[in-house]
Amino acid sequence: MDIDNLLNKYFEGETSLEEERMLRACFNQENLPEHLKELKSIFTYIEDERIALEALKEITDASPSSIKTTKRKLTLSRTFFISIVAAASIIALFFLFSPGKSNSNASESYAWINGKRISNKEEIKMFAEKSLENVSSTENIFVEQVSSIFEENIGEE
Amino acid sequence: MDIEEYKKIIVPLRPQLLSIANRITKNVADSEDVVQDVCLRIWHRREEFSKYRNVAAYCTTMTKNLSIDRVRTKHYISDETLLENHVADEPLPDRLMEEKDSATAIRKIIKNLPPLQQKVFEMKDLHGYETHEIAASMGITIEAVRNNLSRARKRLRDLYLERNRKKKGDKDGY
Repeated sequence: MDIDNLLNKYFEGETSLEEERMLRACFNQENLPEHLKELKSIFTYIEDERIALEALKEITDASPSSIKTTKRKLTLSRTFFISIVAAASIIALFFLFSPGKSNSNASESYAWINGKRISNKEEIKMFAEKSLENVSSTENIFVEQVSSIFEENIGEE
Repeated sequence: MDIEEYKKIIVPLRPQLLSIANRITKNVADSEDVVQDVCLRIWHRREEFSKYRNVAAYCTTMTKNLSIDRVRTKHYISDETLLENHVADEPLPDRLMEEKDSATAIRKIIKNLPPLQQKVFEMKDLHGYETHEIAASMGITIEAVRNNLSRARKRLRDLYLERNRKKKGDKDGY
């Protein structure tokens, strides 16, 4: 079959894959008849695209895209984890080494007396002793009361 | 650049391009399509790329642009729309006539074919399926495959020759 008949058959959608391969091979020749030269680019394009698609299929079959997606997810979660650890470390360091309050509080003694914060040692000691006196006087009251109960009972007998 | 050299460029580039496309399209199938499109464009313009120093940078930019285009123009073609062949007689936009190289012009003509014609043409001429395989996979008759294939091939031929004539006319005009 000559190339013109094959070409007509091609444009009617009636060629087999083998005939189409022959047609592409014909258009790949250097000494192509003049009236067919303007169609050469179309058949060259088709042949080129087929070669590239076959190569890309080989590449895709060898390395499925899911590998990259999984890798990216892992990278993201790892970065997130590192960020959390770094932020926690900075906050911890801030509390440990921040000047003022926590360190000074550790060396300073104070007491809350009647809703007031008192750091003067002498004053605290004075209040403490006073409180202890109160305790002893409370004990005395208790002893006196018990004694008076006993005395009353003896009197009745 | 032969096909083996081409593979050596594409293999290490592909995962990176897929990642970029996936970040923009958020769809694995779309990303695969975009990256395949980028890879095919590089192949058709391989002579140009042989001289180009940073192919990776060029591919990255192309992937980003095509992914954005994909998101913007994405529309889901139902089977009914596919079978209607609703844009069969639309003229090819002028911008397609202005393409400098033949491969890009042919690619655009194919991409502008009505959906069913495009699908049948790609399956037969580019992927090498037999007519009866296409009919079975698309759920249409063998006759319908032949008709659509014939229309697609003729449309490609006519628009390509029209583009060449227009370009020649423009050249002669100057």
